[in-house]
Amino acid sequence: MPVDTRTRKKKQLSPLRRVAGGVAVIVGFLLLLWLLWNNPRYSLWILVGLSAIFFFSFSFYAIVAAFSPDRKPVAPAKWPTVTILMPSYNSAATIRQAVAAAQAMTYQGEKELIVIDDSSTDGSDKIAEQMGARVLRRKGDRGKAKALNHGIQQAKGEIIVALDSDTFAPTDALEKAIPYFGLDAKIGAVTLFITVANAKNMLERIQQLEYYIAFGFTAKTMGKVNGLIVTPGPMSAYRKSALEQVGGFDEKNMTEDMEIGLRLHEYGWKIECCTETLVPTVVPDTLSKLYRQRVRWYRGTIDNIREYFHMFLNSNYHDIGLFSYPMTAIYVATTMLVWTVIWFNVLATLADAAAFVQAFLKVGLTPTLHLEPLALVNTTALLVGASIAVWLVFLLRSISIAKVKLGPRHVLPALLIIMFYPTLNSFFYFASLYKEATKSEFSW
Amino acid sequence: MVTKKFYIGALLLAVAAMAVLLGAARLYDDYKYASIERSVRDFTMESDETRLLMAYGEAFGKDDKQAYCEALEANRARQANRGYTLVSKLRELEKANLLADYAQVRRQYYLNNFELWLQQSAARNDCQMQTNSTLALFFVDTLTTCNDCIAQGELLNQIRSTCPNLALITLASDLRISPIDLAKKKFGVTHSPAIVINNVQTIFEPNTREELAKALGCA
Repeated sequence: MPVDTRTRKKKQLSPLRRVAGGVAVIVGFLLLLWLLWNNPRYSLWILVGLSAIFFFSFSFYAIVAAFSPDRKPVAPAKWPTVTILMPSYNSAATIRQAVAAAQAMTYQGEKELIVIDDSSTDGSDKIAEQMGARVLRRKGDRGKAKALNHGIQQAKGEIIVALDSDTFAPTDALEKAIPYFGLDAKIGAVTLFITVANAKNMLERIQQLEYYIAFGFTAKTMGKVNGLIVTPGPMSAYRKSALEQVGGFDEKNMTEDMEIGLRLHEYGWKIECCTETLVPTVVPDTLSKLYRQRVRWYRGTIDNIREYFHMFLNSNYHDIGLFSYPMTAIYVATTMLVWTVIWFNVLATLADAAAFVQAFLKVGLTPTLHLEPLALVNTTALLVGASIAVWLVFLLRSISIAKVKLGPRHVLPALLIIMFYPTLNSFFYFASLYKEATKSEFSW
Repeated sequence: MVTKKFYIGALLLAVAAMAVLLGAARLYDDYKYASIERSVRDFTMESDETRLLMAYGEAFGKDDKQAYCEALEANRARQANRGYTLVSKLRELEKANLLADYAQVRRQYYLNNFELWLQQSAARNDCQMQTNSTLALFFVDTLTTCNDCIAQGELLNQIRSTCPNLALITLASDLRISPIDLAKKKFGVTHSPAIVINNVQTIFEPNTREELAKALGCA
């Protein structure tokens, strides 16, 4: 398989430049805080600007969803052979269920399952072997992209399905997704509707709602205009010839599923979206695991934005260049901005409150707030309220696509995802930017 | 393939949504502004009334000085009742505002207060108003959050509620209004909060209720 060397070259920063990068990120953040501190009303105008971008984005989704017809694939006369590649590293807790689900997938064509074990030490390779899966063992230099590329070289299928070892494919996944390749010979990949397998605690339920939106309404809508830039890591299907043409997965990239999506577009391939079946995957169950996952994702996103900056507002890349890529880049930038604004407001409010209490105590008064009823509802509340209403429409549309029912136990996660999650995600983005600026090490 | 009409449609929809939202924000900001403007206008009318009373006093006051002074005292009591409440309302509404311009109404309010102070001072001289009454001129910062000013204002308000002979007038020390700057210079007001009592004594440090009540003759 030829290697696309352009994407393999990564800059190695000197220690001095790494420190300078970190300092630049911190100084930039402090400068913004200083600016807001001296001009508190700027935060309101920032919010207005962000709302305008958000409403443009939502409007685009709404118009595409309403006026771009659904493309219905038909079952192929001859089903292509499929190779399911399951990279695995120390996944003893989930691999049994993942392999069983992969084996249980019904398919009218020929399919093979290859587990690529990436030097596991927990016996997960043996579990897969006992279950009858073909296991390829890699030693030494680990990495999901490397494991997948290794698997592609051994694969017989015309279609490669990348399936995580903590993802439990539904029985009809192949039969629903593979026909999409028949819509157009230039379709290089088909994404699936990823959902959460372990929605037990609050954090998992929050992610469940997040996944519904990300892989439901938004993915389906972007699929209509060939605007998908991520082929979700838990499960996606690729045309093998497309992967071979673009040189396989980028082994130096932290989010190989996004990078391969962008590279497929760069080579003129299209990405379709199949939302007719739900693919449950295991998501982080603690904040520290979520932090680790998101920092990897967001570092990869920042890296890919830099790598593919030539796509920004470039009509040669159609809706990817004009909408999906710019919106992703803007989203990353604005998320960090929102985080700064939020924390500025939190810090300013706390500092104000402390000074207020101190001033009252100094004169022997009990601190008392005289709330001005007219001031309670302000422009911020109006803009945030409208954005939340739009977000709820996204969620409801996604729920309807997923054909699931949400109950009372999802009310609190929905509130938290609105009130708390953006702050958390913004923090993750900021941490990712810092780590990316200092080029700190990462591992799979 | 790029479908231009999707982008144009999205742009139009986004512009419409923002126009509706900002229009609603503008309406609400204007509504809030109108409420404070109304209060300031009422205040202006009261000042006008006092000004006319004083003009009347100049012309005919000596004929029936007692009636003139009683009318002036009634006006004083009504205006002094406003104390600090309008200041805090103005501050809170301005903080929650995006599109209305409060500079004019803020300036108008403090100019009115300045005029009120002049009227009160003149009335004290003309009518030798009750010797037990106190005129307190309270200087605050309005462009930045001054918690000491807020706390001191709250305390003055509380004292005012139990001490009807206290006339409390608030002036913004940071708006560069020339007559207010002159008064600041006259009374040596260098920072806020500062209280000038009966146009004689200036106190700066935030005071406790007992200290302040004693200084204001409200103990």
